[in-house]
Amino acid sequence: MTCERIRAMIDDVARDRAAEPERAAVAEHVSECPSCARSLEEARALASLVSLAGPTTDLDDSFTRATLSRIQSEKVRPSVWSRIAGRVSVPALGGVALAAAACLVLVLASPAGFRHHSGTGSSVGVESAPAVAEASADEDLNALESLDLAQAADEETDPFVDSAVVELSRAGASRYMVAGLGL
Amino acid sequence: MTGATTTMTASPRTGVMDTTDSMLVRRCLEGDLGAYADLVDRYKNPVHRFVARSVRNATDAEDLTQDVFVQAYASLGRFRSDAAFKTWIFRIAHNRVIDYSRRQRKRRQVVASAPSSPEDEDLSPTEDLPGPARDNPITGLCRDELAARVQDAVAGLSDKLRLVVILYDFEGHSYEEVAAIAGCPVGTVKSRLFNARSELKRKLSSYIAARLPGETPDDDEGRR
Repeated sequence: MTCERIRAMIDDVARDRAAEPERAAVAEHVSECPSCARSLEEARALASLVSLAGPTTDLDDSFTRATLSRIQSEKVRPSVWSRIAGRVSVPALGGVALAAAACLVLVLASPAGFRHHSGTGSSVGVESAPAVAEASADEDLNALESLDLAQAADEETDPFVDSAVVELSRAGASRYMVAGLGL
Repeated sequence: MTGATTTMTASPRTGVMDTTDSMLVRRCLEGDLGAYADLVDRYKNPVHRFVARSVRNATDAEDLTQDVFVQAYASLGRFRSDAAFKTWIFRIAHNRVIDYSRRQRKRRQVVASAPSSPEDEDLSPTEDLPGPARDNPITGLCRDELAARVQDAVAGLSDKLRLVVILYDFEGHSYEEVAAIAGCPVGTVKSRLFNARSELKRKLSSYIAARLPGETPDDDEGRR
């Protein structure tokens, strides 16, 4: 075995962390190679110095109590957001964020196009949109809402992106605007 | 990387045998703070040793270790049960240590550019560290100082090199665990370990020479 390969094993042998075949290979090699034998001695010396640095003082129960008391006093809780973030992919979150931003832009950019229906006080409709375009948007909406999530998964579509498209359509975005957003 | 079920010991607070880390995490998410106390008990000492070896200030090390566990609790929902809690908590600790090092570097830059004050002159990295009692004026002193030199040399490594050398050489983690914590391939861990040890050998050359069979130190630096 070459000196280069032996030196790659020497540190683990010096720390007793090598497997038996490696130990045997190093032992055999250093018996005939003074240079690698010296490297092994240096590695052992460094390992013994490192062991001198030893463990620091162990923490006792008061540390655990203090940590829990801080968690309680600061009202720290595993956040709902972090639970969601841990389960949802970053691209999906990005798609939702993009859709939300696009909806906001649409609402802000066309204030004249929206009106409040008298009587309800909360519903919002597209006053100036032509009836044909509205019907077309409704068809698109129905088609999108009928998407089966399992089927979507099979087709490698993203349910979050689909829901973003539904939201955009609800907000009055045409299919060209949706396509322009990359959804 | 080891699985999430590697740690399986009796839980002192819950009294349940065979409690894995992922079981405890699940119970924490259901609001059982006692389960989190068990997790803290399991990992506080390894995490504290790692932090203490990285920051070389006992008070800051304990505060940082507490920050790690508080932050981990807040982010517990993000823990993926197919990963090892040990790996995850060490990653958080590593990130906290890096933040701390950056703050310290900035602070040192500010201090260096400001007029020196008497307080700053006492900021020796080894001053605040707990160590064995120095009862024996000869052997105790030498051993303590040697240990302090080694720890200073380790603390002086770059973040990446220090991480692998502490986790592998001091804490006994496997290559795979170190790779998972450092977020790099095993091959990179091995090359960083090689570089870290080379740097340590260079920094501690006189102490190493004194320990080689048949060698006498060529200067008295090793005995200072």
